[in-house]
Amino acid sequence: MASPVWRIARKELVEQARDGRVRLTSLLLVALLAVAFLAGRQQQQSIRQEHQAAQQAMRNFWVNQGAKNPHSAAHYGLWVFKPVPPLALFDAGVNAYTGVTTYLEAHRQNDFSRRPAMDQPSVVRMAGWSAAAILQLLVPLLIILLAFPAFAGEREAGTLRQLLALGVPMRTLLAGKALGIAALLTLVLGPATLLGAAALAGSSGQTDSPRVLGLALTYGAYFALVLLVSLIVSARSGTSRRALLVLLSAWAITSLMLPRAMGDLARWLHPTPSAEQFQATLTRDIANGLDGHDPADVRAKAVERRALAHYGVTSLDSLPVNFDAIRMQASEEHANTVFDHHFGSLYDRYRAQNALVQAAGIWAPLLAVRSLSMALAGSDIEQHRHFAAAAEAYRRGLIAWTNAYLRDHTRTGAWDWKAPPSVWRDYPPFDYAVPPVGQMLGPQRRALLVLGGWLIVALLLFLRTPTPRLE
Amino acid sequence: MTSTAPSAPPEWRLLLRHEWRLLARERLPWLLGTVLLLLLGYGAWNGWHWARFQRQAIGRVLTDDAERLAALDSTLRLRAAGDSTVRVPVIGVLGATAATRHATLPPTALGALAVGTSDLRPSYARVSTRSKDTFLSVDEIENPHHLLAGRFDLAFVVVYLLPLLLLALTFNVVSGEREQGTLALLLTTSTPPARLLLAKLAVRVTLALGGTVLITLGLAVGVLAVDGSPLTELRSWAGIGLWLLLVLAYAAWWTALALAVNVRGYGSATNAMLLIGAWLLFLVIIPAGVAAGVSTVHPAPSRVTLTTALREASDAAAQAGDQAVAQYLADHPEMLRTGGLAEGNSWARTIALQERTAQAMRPVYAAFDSALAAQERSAAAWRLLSPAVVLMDALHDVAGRGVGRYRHFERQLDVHHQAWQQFFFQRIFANQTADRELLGALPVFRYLEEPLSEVLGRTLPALAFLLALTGLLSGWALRRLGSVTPISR
Repeated sequence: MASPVWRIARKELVEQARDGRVRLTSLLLVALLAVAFLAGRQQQQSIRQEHQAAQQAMRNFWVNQGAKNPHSAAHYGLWVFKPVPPLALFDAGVNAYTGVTTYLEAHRQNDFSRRPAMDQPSVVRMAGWSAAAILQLLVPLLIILLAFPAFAGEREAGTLRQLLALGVPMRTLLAGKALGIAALLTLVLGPATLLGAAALAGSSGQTDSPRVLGLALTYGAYFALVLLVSLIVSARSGTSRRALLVLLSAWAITSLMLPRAMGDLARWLHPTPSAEQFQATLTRDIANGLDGHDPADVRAKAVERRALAHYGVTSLDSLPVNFDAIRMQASEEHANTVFDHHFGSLYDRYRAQNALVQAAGIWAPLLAVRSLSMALAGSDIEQHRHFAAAAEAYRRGLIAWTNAYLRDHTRTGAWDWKAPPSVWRDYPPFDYAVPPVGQMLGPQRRALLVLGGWLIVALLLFLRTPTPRLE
Repeated sequence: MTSTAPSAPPEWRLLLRHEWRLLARERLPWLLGTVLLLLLGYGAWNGWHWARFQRQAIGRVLTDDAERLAALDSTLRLRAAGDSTVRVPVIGVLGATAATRHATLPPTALGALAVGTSDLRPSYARVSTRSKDTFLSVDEIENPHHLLAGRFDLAFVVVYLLPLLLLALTFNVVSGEREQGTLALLLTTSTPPARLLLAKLAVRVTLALGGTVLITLGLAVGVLAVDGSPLTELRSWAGIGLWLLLVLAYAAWWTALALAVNVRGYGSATNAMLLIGAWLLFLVIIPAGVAAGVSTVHPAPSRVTLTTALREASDAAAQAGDQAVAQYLADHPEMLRTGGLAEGNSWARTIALQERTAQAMRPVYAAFDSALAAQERSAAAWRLLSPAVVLMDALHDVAGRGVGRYRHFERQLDVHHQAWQQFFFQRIFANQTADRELLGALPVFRYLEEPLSEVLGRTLPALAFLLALTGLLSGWALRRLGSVTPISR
């Protein structure tokens, strides 16, 4: 423990910890984090229970719908609800801004609806709060406040001259300061992290350790980056006031302005249609085909020909099965290609918009961190898309099943026929499994690159920081 | 600068001119001013772009409606002329889909000033004979990541960034003089310190606000001119005036805060830290606390349980079946003026079941609405803790982007929906056939703009609140001004 690095680190830690302002700020931060974790846990848990209960209720409605024509059952359909990932208590991401439920019915892929944000007062949108927001906004601010006077402050106090006169190498000094502040941060954030882990373990019973580890690494890397940059700025600034001004401006720009500014830019460069326009296009393309030259009556004739050929008969009346069901299934499959195309391109638009925002992480690594944090917590749009795809796959399976049932159990025209009430339970309930985290990190490549790149560059600059001028 | 009068200019003019010259020599104010101007420009452009997107979306919706109805009209014309090959939809289909039109909520003339909550809710609804959740639960398409981050509009620049510029210009208005050693000299002159200080502040605030006022006016007038709305419309000008007054009051409040910190006698560095702390407190921490408090104490009612309740009610109605139809007819004898219900009138049955569902849902919706209203009331009370939140809501209201105007739209939707249902229900029960005459008699939705008095009722208290806070704070600071000394604390 006699190494000069450790000695400097210890001095830095002790000095900072003695400062009443630092202690107050740290305490406030820990309190805020604790409240955020507890409130997040309570909120997310109640949403989770509500969704689970609703999902179960919908299944019961489906199973107990009584004797019915299978096609009526397909129109009756059911609603599915998006599950709440365990880590939403840490970072709820876009969950309030995506619909939480979608109606699965015959003929149509519906978009998700009922965004919770629609029913929230404006202040919630202005300052949505979560543990992640505190780590993204306030912890960097604390690091800046701790680190800005590291060199410029020593110079102003006149102690820098003495330090350098002792022959302490610049790198030792830098490493000592960095370690001291890092130790203090660990003291502040350590208990809060444990509290978060406890909240997580208590809320879901299962913890996805790769995700938690990923989050810890992401935020660890980001805090290290902020610390390195703050020390570099402090060493290179003439006065501590100037260092503070530079760092605070950078903070305001990255955490306040760029997320909004980039969102608007992305929206302009990759515009999305209005909801009505989207629906109109769907309707038009289902009627005329994606290429506009595939009208419904032509398609119907082709289906008829194929069915007759398949069963080796010459007229629909002599088919041993229900041709209406075959026709409906064919039109489902046609519509599905249209849905795949349009919903796919809408989500691709979102992905292109988000990629642009992530790329802006080159100027503001916080954007990359936000994106990674949501992806790891399972609360970003990609996770939503995965769920939407699973719900849609379930819908298609369900509708195909009702059509097959109708086809095999009746003859053409049997609209009044009713399937027995016990058949509905034969179709398995919707069971959604959250994908492994690796699968969700694909679209985060840029974010990872940006964060890693920043860290490497900052480290190089940090190691090459020149000895500050004494005057 | 003003031309020099033959006689000596009055003292205040001298002071202002002197301050202006000092400030103009520095690089920082110009740099900050330019940055703010660019940000304001970007915000204005974004708001304008959004308002245009909305107008175009509404335009397209109305064109589509008009085309659909024109096609329907020509079908009916052919049928009336005796062409039996054309398929005419039954009247139930007309009311549910074929003859429906969208009710639209166009952005106001000042809509470009803020996006507000308008990116969460669509500005159109396709009103039909079906229950209102079918057209009110449609969400506008928008990248959820953008909804989460919020939009970079003029309101954002004014609420978040303008105070930063103001604070950068005013944080050392007294302490700077002290640190330069000029405060002692100033205090020995015959000019009252309050007058000196006000002159210094006036010049700085003017510099910070000049760009804001210009850009706001430019955007507002530009949009009015491009949209072809009459530039003489009093309402638009009242809105612009109100917007500027609110911004002015907000700026005055931040300036008063800087003044109050300055008269405490700390050094410039401490002043800067205190003011940055205040900015964080009012713009980040208090809003977050209010948001967390409101959503914990008055959580938003759940639309998930609403969805389950709706299914339960519609299942129960379906279960009741014929009995539900009989009940409906007993409750609405006016529906059967022409005698009994025609055999095979499946639409009448659908309506009876739908109305039974709606009846069962009424208390559920009422509970939902009152929970929502309780949440809105509590948010309105708690936001007084931060003038920034007060201003944000007021600016959204002035631009017609707040929740108030949307509720106004919703109420009209309700009335129109009922009229539409009434119109079709009677004709469906009477088993009428569709004809062109019916098409001409359809109820039409015309949005009536919220009266200006409503908007004023919501925003004037906000303005008064900001002004009162400013008055209190600056009164206190000016009283303490007497104790300002050339020596730092």
